[in-house]
Amino acid sequence: MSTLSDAGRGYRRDHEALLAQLGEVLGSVHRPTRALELLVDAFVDTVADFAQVALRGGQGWIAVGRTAGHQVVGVDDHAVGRRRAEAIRDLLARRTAEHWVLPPDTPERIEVLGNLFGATPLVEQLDSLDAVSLLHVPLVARGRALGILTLARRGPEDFTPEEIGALEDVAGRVGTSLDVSVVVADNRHVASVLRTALLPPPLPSAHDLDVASYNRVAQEDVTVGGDFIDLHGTDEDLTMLLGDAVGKGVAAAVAAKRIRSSVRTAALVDRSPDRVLDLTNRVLVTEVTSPIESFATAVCGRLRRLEDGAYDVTLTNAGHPPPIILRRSGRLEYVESHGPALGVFEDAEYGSSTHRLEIGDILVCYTDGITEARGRADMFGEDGIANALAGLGGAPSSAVVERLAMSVSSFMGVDSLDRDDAAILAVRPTGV
Amino acid sequence: MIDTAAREGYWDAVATSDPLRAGRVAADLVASGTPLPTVLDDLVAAAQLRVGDLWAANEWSVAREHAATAVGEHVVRRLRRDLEAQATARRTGAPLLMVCAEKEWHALPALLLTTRLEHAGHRVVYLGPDVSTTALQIAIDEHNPRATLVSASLSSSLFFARRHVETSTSVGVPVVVGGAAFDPGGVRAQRLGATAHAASASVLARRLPDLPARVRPAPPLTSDSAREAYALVPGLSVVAEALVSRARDGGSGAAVVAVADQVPHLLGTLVAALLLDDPAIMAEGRSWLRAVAEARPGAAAAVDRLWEELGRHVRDFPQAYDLLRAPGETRTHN
Repeated sequence: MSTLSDAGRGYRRDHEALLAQLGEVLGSVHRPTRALELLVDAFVDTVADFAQVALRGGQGWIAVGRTAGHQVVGVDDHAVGRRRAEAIRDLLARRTAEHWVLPPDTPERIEVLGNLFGATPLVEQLDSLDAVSLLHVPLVARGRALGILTLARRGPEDFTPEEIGALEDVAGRVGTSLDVSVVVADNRHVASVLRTALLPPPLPSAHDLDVASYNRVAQEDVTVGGDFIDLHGTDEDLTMLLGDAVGKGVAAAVAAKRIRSSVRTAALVDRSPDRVLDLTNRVLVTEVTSPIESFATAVCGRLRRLEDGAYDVTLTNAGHPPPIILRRSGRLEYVESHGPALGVFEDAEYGSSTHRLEIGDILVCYTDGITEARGRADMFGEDGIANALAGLGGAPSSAVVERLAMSVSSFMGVDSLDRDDAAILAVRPTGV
Repeated sequence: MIDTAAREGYWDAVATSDPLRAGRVAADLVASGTPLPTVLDDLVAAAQLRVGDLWAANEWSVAREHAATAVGEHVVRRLRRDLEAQATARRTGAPLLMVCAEKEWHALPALLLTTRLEHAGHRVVYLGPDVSTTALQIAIDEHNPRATLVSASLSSSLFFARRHVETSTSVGVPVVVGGAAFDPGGVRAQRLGATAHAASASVLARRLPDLPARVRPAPPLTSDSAREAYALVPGLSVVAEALVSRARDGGSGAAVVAVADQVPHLLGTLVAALLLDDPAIMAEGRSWLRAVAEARPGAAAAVDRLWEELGRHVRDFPQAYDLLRAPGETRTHN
């Protein structure tokens, strides 16, 4: 409600409260539709009984309106029809606040409202307010009108000239802020399309192989990173890949994507992991100008199902932390490196080793984001892994992956800022 | 009702960490007409309770508990996939966003709730355990949810749950909190700044229609006690290290290790009790630690050393010091 000082300034309602509430909204909301919902709330909560904000966004016009005592209109479908858009454009052309006296109770009144608010419940709600006028205030940013704010009060109370001046002032700030949110939203749309292209596809579930994975990215705000996991092929003959491209964030994700694609292509020709990584290495060395951009370590494996449900696993480790075979008995076996990291030496040669994965044995691959996770004094290390895996022989893959991820998380402490990309992949033949 | 044979078959599969067999038992029950909520509550959740008790009673190792928990999660994921496959109509409208607090690794309660909500026809986006505020922020932006649901099982997760409350309400999205970390009366939820508290899936279902479409940002927590919580947090890893090494003065036996493993939870509990100015949280932590010690010969001395060491580290924090000195007493608020 308005205070004495409001009245002294010619204000009928509490404009201070409006500014306070707008302060909470503007700047913190980067999704235009939600910003509009919060905006109409702010106006209806403080200085008006009806508010609509229409905005020209990247995908056309959107509008959200609300009448006091009613739900927001336009929540599920913000799109604005052609006639409504024309009416709004007409108003915008004038560039200054327009204070319209509404014709009382005539067909003309309904037509005016219908043009402005389309076939929405807003028309009837607004009509029932008995408002004497509508106030249109253009939202201007960078010298162009990008939207319009429409306000009304329950009759017979009207806006004073002082209030209209104050609201024009407010509209300037709202316009600037919405302009930013539209630009950000458009950029986010581009980023999200690119991000989706970079994200690895979900792992397939082979029917007798229990697969679990974990992937945490260092730069969470971009949600992509340089660690990569992939699994493809048929139930009888699979190629698995886990690795770590140098760096963090988008650049690393692009490198990771290149390696995943290259491995997929190579595996179509010959699934032997040494051949696959050999080819991938040559692609990386020839394609990329600087080894700093293309450096990566990886483990590639070929998993072939045997008659008895066990799997034959042939592994090639290219400069990567050793994969671990956690035997059902709890014993740990480490698979050491078969060659240098990828993308550095043109003539690098890769060997491989073959292991039998019995039913219940688990192959665990991880990146150095796990072993080199930093606690206060030291790194998680292979000891950390061995401790985390103790007692988990024969456990489901997801138990192994989660236990490992959880141990690293608790090792790093409450508010560790020093994060690297980290990935874990575990596979276990189930025999059924 | 679930018959004894199915119940025992399921438990046997959990105890021998056989996710496929456990999944078959659960899926068969659903296929033969047992309502999905019954299977989730009376089979999966009930078995999980038993798993926790067996660990607390020192009959199962941590590793065994993890393996059994993974079985439960596998079962729920499978039931959720089955549900998805047979869903006749595509669920529409703004989704609910289900997250666990950061560092909260107990995913099963959130997964159970997700499945029950989906079964009731809601669209749910499930983000899993240990969700950071950045991940939550991105997901809110991407999915425009009608509410965020935050699950916290451990009282030590309450501090992180508060960050989710702030992240969500700062962009106007209502937050409903739930999980074993909260009191049934909802006092903690209210102090945390949540829009609502739901002690169970059915309570949540009842509250959903009444949730506001948009909320104001949760006001900052500014009590003396909350200020101390924020002051304590940056130094916690140093305190944790001191506590672990003090607990281990008694050797490296399983009992001592089990106690030392509780240090992060203990510290998180202290911070939560301060943040929400709720001594009952500390009292619960105290009885939890006592129960851990009672089931493990030789652990009691390690627990005593922990409390003594912790007292030394909080001497400069009067509220924390009071909290440790007066276990379980309810202070009067003026």
